Amino acid sequence: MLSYYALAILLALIQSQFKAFLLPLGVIIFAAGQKKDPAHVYGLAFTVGLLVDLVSGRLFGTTAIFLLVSAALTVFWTRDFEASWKTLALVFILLAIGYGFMVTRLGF
Amino acid sequence: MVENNYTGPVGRLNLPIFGSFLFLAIVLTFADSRALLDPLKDGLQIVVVPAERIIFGVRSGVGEVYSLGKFWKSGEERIKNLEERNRELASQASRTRQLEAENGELRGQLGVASLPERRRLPAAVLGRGRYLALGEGSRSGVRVGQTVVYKDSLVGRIVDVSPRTSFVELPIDPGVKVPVKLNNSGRARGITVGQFNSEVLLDQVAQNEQLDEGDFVLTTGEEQVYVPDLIVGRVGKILSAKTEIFARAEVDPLVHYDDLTTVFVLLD
Repeated sequence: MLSYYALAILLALIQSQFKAFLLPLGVIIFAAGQKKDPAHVYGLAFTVGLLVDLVSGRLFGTTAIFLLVSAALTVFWTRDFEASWKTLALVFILLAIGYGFMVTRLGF
Repeated sequence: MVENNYTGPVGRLNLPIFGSFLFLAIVLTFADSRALLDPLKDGLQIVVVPAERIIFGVRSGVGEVYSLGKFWKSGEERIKNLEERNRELASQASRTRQLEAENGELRGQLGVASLPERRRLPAAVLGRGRYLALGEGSRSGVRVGQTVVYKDSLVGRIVDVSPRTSFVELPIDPGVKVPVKLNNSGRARGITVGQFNSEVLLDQVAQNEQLDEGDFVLTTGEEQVYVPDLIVGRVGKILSAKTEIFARAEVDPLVHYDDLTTVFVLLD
């Protein structure tokens, strides 16, 4: 999991340069899809979410909530099969649409 | 290699751990909405802000190398354009000096004081999401609502502050409205509105007012949201027909927000 942490933290710092909040989300979905221990995936989502909030000026914890829910949904959806990259890409797209809805409609 | 740590249907989701993290995240969100987490954020930003500066520096370096490559590709033509532009600017500078002198004399005659000088706090740009992130925060005197400039151009307004960082809402942000005036011979006023495609639209200009491409668009300072007489941009393509009630036009900002490395916060 350390490599996932390293990659996600790096992406969380980079995302503020490129308006690419969804980069860390990709790592979390990938980690969940690779059937890593869910507890570790949630820890990753929580940590990275707080970091994203810290660098982007959102309320501390809001991104963590979104990433935690995303991680749980991915774990739930892919629990019974080996998820291919196509499946994970689909999960990513759906969650990205969900995020877009939250931003435009709910002012997240 | 795939590790499978799942033990059964209940253990798969690990709901207690998920619930604990979720609860903690909600508590943190609530606490931050009450500004209770500033000391914690301050401590974390001691580490995060320098890291962001390094990453921004690397990104700027890569951008400069890319620009240099493009420059060499079209070098000769670009140099000619720059020389021509340089001549134009020299001519404009001369005219500006003349106008400044006239302006000073007129102010003296009318007894009008110059605009109050505000302390300008230089702030390094840390990145750009929806907002422009700056490496100065409440510890340096930055407050929500303060205007941010680059030279004489408007960059935006501070909308969020933490102890060591702050965030600037740009005029190109969708829905942001800035009361403006034009510096042409008339007294045209209007508002600029940020668009979803990162452009700025000038709107609400009365049709009987003169509106020409190239006019400078300046802040009016109305409603005390922005400091007056800052350049928002220049009038670009005129979009409205003469039959419409209000004139509309595109505004070309003079500041390239993605290229900014240091800006100035006008402190109170």
